[in-house]
Amino acid sequence: MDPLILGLLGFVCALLLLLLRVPIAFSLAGVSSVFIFLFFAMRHGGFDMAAAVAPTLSMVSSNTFDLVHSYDLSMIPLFVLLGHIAYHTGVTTDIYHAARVWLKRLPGGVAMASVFGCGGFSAITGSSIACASAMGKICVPEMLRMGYDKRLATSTVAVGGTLGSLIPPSVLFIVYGIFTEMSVSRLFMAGVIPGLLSLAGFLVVIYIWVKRNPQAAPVDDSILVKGERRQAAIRCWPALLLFTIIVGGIYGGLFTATEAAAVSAFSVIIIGSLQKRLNWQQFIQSIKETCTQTTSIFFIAAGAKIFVGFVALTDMAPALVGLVEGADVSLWQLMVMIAAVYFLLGMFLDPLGIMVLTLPFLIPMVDGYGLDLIWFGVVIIKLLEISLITPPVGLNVFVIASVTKPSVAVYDIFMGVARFLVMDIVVLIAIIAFPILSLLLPNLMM
Amino acid sequence: MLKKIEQGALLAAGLCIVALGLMITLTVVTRNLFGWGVTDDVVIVRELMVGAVFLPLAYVTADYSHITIEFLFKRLSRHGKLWMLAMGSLISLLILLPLVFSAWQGFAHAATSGAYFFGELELPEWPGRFAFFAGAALFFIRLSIILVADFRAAIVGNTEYLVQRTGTEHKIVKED
Repeated sequence: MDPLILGLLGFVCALLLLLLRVPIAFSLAGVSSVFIFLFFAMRHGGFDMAAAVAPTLSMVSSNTFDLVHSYDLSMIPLFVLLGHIAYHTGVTTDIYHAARVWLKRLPGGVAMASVFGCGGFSAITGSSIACASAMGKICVPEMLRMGYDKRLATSTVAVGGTLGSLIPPSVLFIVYGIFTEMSVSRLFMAGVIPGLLSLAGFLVVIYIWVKRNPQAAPVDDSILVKGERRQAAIRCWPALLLFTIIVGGIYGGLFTATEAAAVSAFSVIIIGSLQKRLNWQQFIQSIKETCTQTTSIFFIAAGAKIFVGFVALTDMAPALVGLVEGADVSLWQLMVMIAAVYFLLGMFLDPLGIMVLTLPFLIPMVDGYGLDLIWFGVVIIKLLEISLITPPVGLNVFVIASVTKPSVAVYDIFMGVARFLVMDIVVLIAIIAFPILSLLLPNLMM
Repeated sequence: MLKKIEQGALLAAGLCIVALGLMITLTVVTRNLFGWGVTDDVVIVRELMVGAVFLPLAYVTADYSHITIEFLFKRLSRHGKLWMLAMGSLISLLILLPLVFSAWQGFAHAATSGAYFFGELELPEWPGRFAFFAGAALFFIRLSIILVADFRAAIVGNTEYLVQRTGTEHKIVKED
């Protein structure tokens, strides 16, 4: 059988299994293993099973074991541990409480504080969904109690949670780094300015929303206690310290991303213990959650690695690159096509699934255009961020809808999110049009 | 019994994560303060990573914590869902066979050949290979049990099982 047809069949099977709820890791690993076996068995015409066993086992084993047997990737469990400890000690919500006090007098101040809080939360934990779940229970009821428009109250938390994918540390960047063999430290730095730009964009949307419709966000006129602002600012020092260790340490050349993960994880354990915000049960719970999440992520990455090996065998990627080059597609047309594919897949796949399924094809194509893979990583992560809030799946929206009390209809949350989506697209265009936004910090790194 | 072994493996994985974090932090501190690092730290961290990732596989599977996509599944009938779960488990189990087999081969080779990592400590290769095999083997046993339960529920149309199985799985649709 023609390897290309085998490749296409494999891709369709993987997609089908994913849609039928077979875990992402198993779908990718399973389809790849079977099709790698078929490829080797039919390589010289006929069907030689004996000749296919050894190379298939070797590919499956080496792709799985070698991926995990890595010093650099130990940053994944360590950043995940950091996130869980920070969550259990309340470090993640301190940013919101501080911003809440500082922005109290501004129209839409609590909504803005929610965006800051969610950005900080999801940046530290690296999980948009965890952010939406936790902050949805804190920020949304408070805004609703204050008389905020339910669309504004819910959508700010839904979109705020997406910021964590761009602001370091980000698991998506690490996974992208694995597949493109790009420096994770440089990827982390590349995400900082676009992440802050997205945050600023969301604040602008809230400002315009409230300016045009002041009833959407009544100003909190309760009196501030003397010293409350100072205390609130002081209380969030652990979060700022963690951010400084990660971003400052990497940018300053003091640590690699892996070392930053270890140092920040141990810093939060020490801070939590000294402040008596971390007890033994919380620590054990954090470790347990870290193990579970780490294994899930790595198993997907291993499945995807085997899938990449399969794609390479079938020459599917070069065929696709040839097709695109033959069609004489401009850079902008290529970007629009990629965005369209991501929006489409984002309607029913989760961000990690989209990434591992598409990167084996996209990277050779982007490489063929001579594009910078660090910059492209930022574009991809921004697209994945957007997929978290687009209908019909929009995971963040559904999480907010499920945790918010009193309940708010999914439709209302999507309607609120629509205004932020416009800003997201503006930021995405800026990131594509001005690669310097992504490349400035990595190029300045020591 | 299996549950206890899985929890023991989870504990071992947790210890691996703490140990590798300590190892890296210690290296950073000693390098910046005294100009030296821990001997063979890279090899030790890599070996610990194998334990941290593979040992909890069975626990994660028993907890139904593998990341899945619910898009089409949600639209199936209850009976369809039960059969889909069973088919998913069957496919997963078949997929695991080459992994378990190759993990065993790797361990057997490392143990019998006495292979070791280059470095001052000349650390043996078999502990990491054993963790890989142990994790994959436990995972295989757990998935076999789930497969039997899935098929039994699908055949008798046990919708309570579906609630129990997917009720815990809704939290799985996570990750970014």
